[in-house]
Amino acid sequence: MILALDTSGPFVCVVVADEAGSVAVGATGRRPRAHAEEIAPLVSAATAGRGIDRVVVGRGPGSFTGLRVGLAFAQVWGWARALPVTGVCSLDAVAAQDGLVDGWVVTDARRGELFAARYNDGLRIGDPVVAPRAEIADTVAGERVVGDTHLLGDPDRRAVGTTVIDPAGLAVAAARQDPDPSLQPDYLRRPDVTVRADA
Amino acid sequence: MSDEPVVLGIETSCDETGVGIVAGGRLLANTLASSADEHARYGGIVPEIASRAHLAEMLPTVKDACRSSGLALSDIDAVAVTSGPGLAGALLVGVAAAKGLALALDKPLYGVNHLSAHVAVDTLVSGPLPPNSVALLVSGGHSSLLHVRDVVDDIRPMGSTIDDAAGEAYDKVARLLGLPFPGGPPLDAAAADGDPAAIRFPRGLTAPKDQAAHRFDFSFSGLKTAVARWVEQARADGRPVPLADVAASFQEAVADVLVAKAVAACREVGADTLVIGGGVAANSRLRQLAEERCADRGIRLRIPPPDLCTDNGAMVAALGSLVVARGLPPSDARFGADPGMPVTLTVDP
Ligand SMILES: [Zn+2]
Repeated sequence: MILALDTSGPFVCVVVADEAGSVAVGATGRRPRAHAEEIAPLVSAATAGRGIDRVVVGRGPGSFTGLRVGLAFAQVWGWARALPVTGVCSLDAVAAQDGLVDGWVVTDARRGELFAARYNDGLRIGDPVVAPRAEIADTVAGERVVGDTHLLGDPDRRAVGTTVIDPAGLAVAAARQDPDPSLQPDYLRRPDVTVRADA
Repeated sequence: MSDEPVVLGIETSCDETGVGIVAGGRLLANTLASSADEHARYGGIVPEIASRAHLAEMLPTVKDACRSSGLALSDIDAVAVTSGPGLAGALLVGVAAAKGLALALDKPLYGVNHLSAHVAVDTLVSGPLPPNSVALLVSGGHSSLLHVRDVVDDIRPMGSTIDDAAGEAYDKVARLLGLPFPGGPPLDAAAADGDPAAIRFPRGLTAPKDQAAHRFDFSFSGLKTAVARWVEQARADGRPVPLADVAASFQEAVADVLVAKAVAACREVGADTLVIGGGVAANSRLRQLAEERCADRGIRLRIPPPDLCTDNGAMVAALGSLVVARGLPPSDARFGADPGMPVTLTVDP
């Protein structure tokens, strides 16, 4: 069985699934941005009494702080249980849960920008990118788009709120072999240089 | 659990990723990765850079500590982690890693106070702390005087800085003298050949009028400004800036006020032991002055070696070990990072 975790969005998503991507048990956190608070009880409940063979963790793009919580937790948990740990692009989970075959996933990157990845025949083409909303809107015009589509500025598109990754989508993405299984977080941005307490 | 519980401690409150392992009062491992070099070019700690470095170094540092301890993972009885005070994003990496480890091993987890841990680490070197001690914690992040009646459950704040931390004053003065970050070591080296009495820089909050409200508090921003003005004036007059004398005189002002207040705090509470911790405790003049004045007044001075004074994992493991030995309950699984954790709280409930 696979234990998969994602903390790239506002909520922790935890799922235990088989290698076909079928969910045995899954859960989503209750409080936004409470990744560190909620991750251990969710993983504890999901893994109780289940044999886990490998761990998959969302490496974003998404909340920097959230990603670090998920990656630090999953790496250490997996290592302590002598299990392989690999990363998965969080946008693949969004594509899977929305049944996207051809088109784009976009999610809120804040500061007027969006994260975006293109899919063809159900597979992601290249790495996700970050760019201003208007630029992404031009790129995806006329194609199917899932995720935070309300941020594209097109009044015809339904406002769906901030994308929440669900266990079913994460299970499918985790069961698939990611072409880049690395555990490097997809920050896609250089760090903000704000020196602490400097005058 | 044996008589000597094995505790693994994780520290990520600032720019050091530290993992330590303690069995009873014995230090078995103390592994450190630092992002200090990455911050040097900015002249201060950049939180996002520190957080990224913590994630990159977390698992390798845990592995290294376990390997160098010679223990198996199954020998670990409990996990402790700094839950505060510190930088929120940095703390969260350690908290998440500690939760992963404790859950995977099915062991209790303690979210502990970073300041208490700075005091507790001294017990690894000098044994149990007498029941009525004073601690002076000085670094780039803290300047605190604490009344330590019991390091596990009775620490009361006596004073702290009202502006810059002591280490920050070093960093800022080093920068205006053209010395690298962090400023402590280069200033200490520059001061070695200087005259500490060459320039009389101000001692913050030591005037009679400050004694009512700020008797045990510190202020270093006036000192920093005084050094800046002095240097500007010298340059304006076309005089060469006597680096050694400025550094020695600045260092004297810092050490004088820190030691004077720490000794006064000992007298106030009747403590016969003073513990000094934090990165500034490595400063040679502070150590020397503290030794002299404590000896004069019959106060026992305890300063851990420099690698245990700066932030490290051993201090967290040391405090965790004392907490476990006392039989305190572990933290609730839902505790998070607490950037402003008060020193009166040793373990997150
Ligand atoms: Zn510290």
